[in-house]
Amino acid sequence: MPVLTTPGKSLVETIFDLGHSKFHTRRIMVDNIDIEAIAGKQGMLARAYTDPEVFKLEMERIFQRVWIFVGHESQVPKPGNFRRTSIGTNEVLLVRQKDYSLKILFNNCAHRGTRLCAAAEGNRTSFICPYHAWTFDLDGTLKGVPDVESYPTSFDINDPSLHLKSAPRLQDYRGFIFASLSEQGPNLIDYLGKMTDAIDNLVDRAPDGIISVDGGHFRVRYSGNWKLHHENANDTVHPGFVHESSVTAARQSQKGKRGKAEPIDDGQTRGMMASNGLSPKDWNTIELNGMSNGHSFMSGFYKSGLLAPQRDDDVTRTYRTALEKAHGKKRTDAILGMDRFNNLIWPNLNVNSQFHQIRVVHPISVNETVIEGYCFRLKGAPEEIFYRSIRFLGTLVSPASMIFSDDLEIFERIQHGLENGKLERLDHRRGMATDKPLNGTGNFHSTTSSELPLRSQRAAWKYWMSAGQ
Amino acid sequence: MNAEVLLQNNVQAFLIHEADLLDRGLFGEWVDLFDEDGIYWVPSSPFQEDMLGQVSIILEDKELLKLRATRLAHPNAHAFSPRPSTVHLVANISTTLEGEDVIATSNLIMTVFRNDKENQLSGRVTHKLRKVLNGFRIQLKRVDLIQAGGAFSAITVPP
Repeated sequence: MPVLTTPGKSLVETIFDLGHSKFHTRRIMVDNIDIEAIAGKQGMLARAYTDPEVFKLEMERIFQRVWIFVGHESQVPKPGNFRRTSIGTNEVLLVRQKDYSLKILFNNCAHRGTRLCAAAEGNRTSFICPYHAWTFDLDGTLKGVPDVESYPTSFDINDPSLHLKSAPRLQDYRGFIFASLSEQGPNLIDYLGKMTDAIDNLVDRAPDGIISVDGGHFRVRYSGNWKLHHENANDTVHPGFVHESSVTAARQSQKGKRGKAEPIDDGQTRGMMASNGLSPKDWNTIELNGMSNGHSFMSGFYKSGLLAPQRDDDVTRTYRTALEKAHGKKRTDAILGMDRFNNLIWPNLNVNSQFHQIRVVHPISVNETVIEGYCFRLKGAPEEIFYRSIRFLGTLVSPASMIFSDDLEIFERIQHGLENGKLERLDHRRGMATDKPLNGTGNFHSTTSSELPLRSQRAAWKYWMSAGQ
Repeated sequence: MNAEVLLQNNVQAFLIHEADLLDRGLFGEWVDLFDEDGIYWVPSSPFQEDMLGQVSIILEDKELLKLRATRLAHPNAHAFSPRPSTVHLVANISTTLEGEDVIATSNLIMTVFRNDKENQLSGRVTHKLRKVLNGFRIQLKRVDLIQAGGAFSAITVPP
């Protein structure tokens, strides 16, 4: 762990330092990297996106300490089920134990460091290293070493240092599993704060109260820093420009053909593409919310009439009836009317409750990132609702998406620009003067096209990069 | 020429023509090769059987393909500007008859060059072709990429 030469500010202090107040600047040096200078009020230094040393420190101080989303309970339903994932650049296995509890194990053998599971997922009774057949129990304890007689007496198979390393903390919130590689830190509920509402809403959308990851997933790679994804997701000004080509094409297509049945998704894709055609007036009706801990979300789409909460057709009517049966009408209205989009849980999860999907950010290196997209099946909802979620995921997160491909292009152009240009510091001051603090919460709210989410992310970045533990 | 060889030759000429349209960026004309109820399908995982119950890299009917072509023709389709150079290499073609239709299977290697970077997609392709006057119309084109399940960079030119 790096040594902190000057104690960092408390989290609340840092969150309130979203550039509104004039905190006197002090140098926070961690491993000779000046955190204070990088996380400026005006914007981050370019090196935050391009310097491998900063990336290395981020992996240690952010990804090895905060709560990282590692999977959903439905992905490992039975004892012995495992799924390979990552916590920052550490490859880990999420493993369902014999007693149905969960564990995160590092995916490399305690003998020679060999990668244990090459499979992305599966079911095992134990993990056997392909190299010399060291055998580990589902909980990571070493239970067998061939030719153990040849080892000196100092070699003890029960020595914990010979077990697979595990995450000291693992906690789930309504089936969403998070792990922390730090022994200490805030508990998950405190860390998530208001973001638990988004998870609640997604689960509550299932008439039977059970959701499961289903229908496959996408993995998409871009040559750019991991922070660029979350910085873009709640930016309300870019869609009109970045997605202009798909907006225009969708509008032309709408003009061209009305009332003709479309076999694949009956206009859903076209509608989603057209919805990015936000005008300057629209930017200022969408509300933005910047949470402590770096989380953020957009709101106000339904309130302003930018989007309709539900399509009105047989499928949604059947679905609504099932929900009303489970929750009653008032509660159903509240569930379906939740007006929050792109619930970004910093640093690596995006929950889109309405569309039953999530995105997960996996940093690979300072200029390489993989985004995964998953959707959920809602138990008790019509099958067509699941099909629509699948279409939504394909339209939005497929590598061939007519929308996302342009975002990926922009991420790569930013990265290229920062690595090869002269810009020293990026700018994230839009809306700075009009963001309103919500008293006592550490959260901010904006009713203009603010870069508030970026400033929340910067504040959390600065806190974790400098906070000592 | 016997009927079997003739069919093989015609199918081969059709697939080469299709690849040529894609490589020349003539996406509107490429879409015209599809039957009115034709489908273009690039599954997201190997051996995918379910078209609707599982995500696809691309699953589009003719209207959506037209939309895709329109978008690529837009000057601000950023992922497509500058336009990538591609070559679709179609090989190992075999044809069988299924009623009135032709099932053509082939192997594809598609090399993409853009911004000094080279990328490759490869796969097994199945065309279900309907015979029409002077040629074929695509009922279904299915591309099973060997990279399916892996992490992809953005795809703009259809494989």
